[in-house]
Amino acid sequence: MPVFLAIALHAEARPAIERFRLKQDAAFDLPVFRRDEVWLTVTGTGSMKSAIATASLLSRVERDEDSVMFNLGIAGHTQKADEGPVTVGDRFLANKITEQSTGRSFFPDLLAKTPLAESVVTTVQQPLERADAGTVEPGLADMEAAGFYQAAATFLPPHRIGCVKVVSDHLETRRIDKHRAGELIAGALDDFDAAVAAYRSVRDGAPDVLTDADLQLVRDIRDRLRLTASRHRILTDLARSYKLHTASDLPDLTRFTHVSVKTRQEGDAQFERLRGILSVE
Amino acid sequence: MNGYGASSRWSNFSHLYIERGANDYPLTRRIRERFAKARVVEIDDYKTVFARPRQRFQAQKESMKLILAVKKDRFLYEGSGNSQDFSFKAFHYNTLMSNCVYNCDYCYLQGMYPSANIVVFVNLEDYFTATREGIRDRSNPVQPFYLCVSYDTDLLAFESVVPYCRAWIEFAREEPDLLIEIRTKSAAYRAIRDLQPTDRAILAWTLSPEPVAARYEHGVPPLRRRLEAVRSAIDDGWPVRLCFDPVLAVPSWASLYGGLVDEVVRKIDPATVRDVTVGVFRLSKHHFQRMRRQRTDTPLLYGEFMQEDATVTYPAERREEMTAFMRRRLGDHFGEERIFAWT
Ligand code: SF4
Repeated sequence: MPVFLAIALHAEARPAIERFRLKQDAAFDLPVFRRDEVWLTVTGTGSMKSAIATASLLSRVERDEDSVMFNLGIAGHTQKADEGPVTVGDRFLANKITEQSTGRSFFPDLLAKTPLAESVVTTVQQPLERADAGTVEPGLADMEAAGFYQAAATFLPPHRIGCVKVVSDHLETRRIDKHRAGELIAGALDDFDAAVAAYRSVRDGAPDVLTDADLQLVRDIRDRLRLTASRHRILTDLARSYKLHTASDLPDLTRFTHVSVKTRQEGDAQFERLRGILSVE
Repeated sequence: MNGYGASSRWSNFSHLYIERGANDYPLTRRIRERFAKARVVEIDDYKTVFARPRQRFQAQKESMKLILAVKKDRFLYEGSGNSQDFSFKAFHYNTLMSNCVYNCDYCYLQGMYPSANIVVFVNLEDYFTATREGIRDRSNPVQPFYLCVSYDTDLLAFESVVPYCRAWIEFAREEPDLLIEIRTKSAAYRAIRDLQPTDRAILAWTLSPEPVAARYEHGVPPLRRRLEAVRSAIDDGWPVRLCFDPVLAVPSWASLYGGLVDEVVRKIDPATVRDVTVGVFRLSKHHFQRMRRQRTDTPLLYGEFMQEDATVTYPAERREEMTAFMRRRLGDHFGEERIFAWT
């Protein structure tokens, strides 16, 4: 069950690299760090770069149904310092990501219950000035989330994509010191880790009644009998039907992985034999 | 990284997604008060949440969100061939809500909608206006305008949150040429029990053998409670319809569904029932295929099926046997003329 992380700056990524004891993987053109099932890409600043690095990672690493992907980074908050509850260091999970340049909004699916508060995140192309705070929905302003989300959503269901932002400023600071950025991320890692764990615990409904071994067996039979894609689908459904209706394991079908068929008629005959064995009517 | 924790999911309706344009409707205010602790996310158009790609229907079923929206058009739809039309020339339905709080294994909504989240359209008056026009322009003025208002949802099951059954019953009371059907599997009759019955609103209960309900109709009240609700509604003077639909080809189906008919007539005097519908399991081909892709865990979607035009159902012989069986068993008690069957 891979966990993918996309983080804009090395300074923000370093605490996560250390915490999860990741090592750089030189096989990638972009900076990618990994250990076991955790993959982290340092994307660079900006929506486009975040999208490219996210898509690149997700298309190169084998995913499974349970993979999750997170963007983690610092962001400014529209609330003025000392004029509300939000302070530097607070962390939020994005419940809405708006791309300022297009006005489009995206919604990660919030199925997993995490310890994090939630916020709207608006992705801007230039750092937002205090004077322009009123041009975005109250909440966070960052430079990556929209690009990250759109790229991740091409590959993953929306409840397996998360975006966590740590408040670095109230739109007054023009540049955040690198060291400070690292500290802010480091301070949020416990909550972040808990959020990732919560996302990973969500299952996509009841599992397939066919196990991986069953599915492999059906594929082996397909190859042996040279079944068309449509027949492969029918055979898979017959196997499912058998297990669901009999509440027992598949009968022994290994002999169908040894038979040799030379003509289409022979293939058809073997397929009909299989159909007879798996029929539950 | 943290290991796998116990599954930590939000409970249902932890989040309200509210279209900007829906904010000022009384129902929106009511729902916000009802779910005062819910996290609110403002949206421009409900489809940006509801129609996201790659959503997982069954994963969402365990943490359904509410989406409050304003329906912009299509306040009336013409009925489809998969529904009984009760010999009405004009059979219509509307979608006041999309999706349902229950989760039946055989539910076609899994194949129809991209999301399991519940959309509530808050602009009820626009539906009323369109319905008045539909009544006025109906093709056969001799018959009332027949409208199913609990379609693609179970309206009564959600009445405590969205009091639409009440609103539609009151609306029907004012419209002499309207006949509405409110179909449900819920036992929440008490939510409308204070209303005066009217002949212009049929309360329709879908009934299943208890073993079928317990195994395949998740979250739905057991048969016993549904029958208590039926009984109360009839005692109060409502026209009640009993729906044996879908009849499922489960093992021992004849004994299960025969037993169901026996149980029903033990509890309910057939003479007091307005009419009865019967239909074996059937789905549009498109919905069936999409459901199968998502549901690899329920026997109801696997086995012998056939396709007729755009409908998937059991092979003809099986289907005819099941329909004939149900007609016979129900006919013994209700008489043929009150039974409407999809064949
Ligand atoms: S009660 Fe009806 S609408 Fe609701 S889940 Fe069951 S079949 Fe679907």
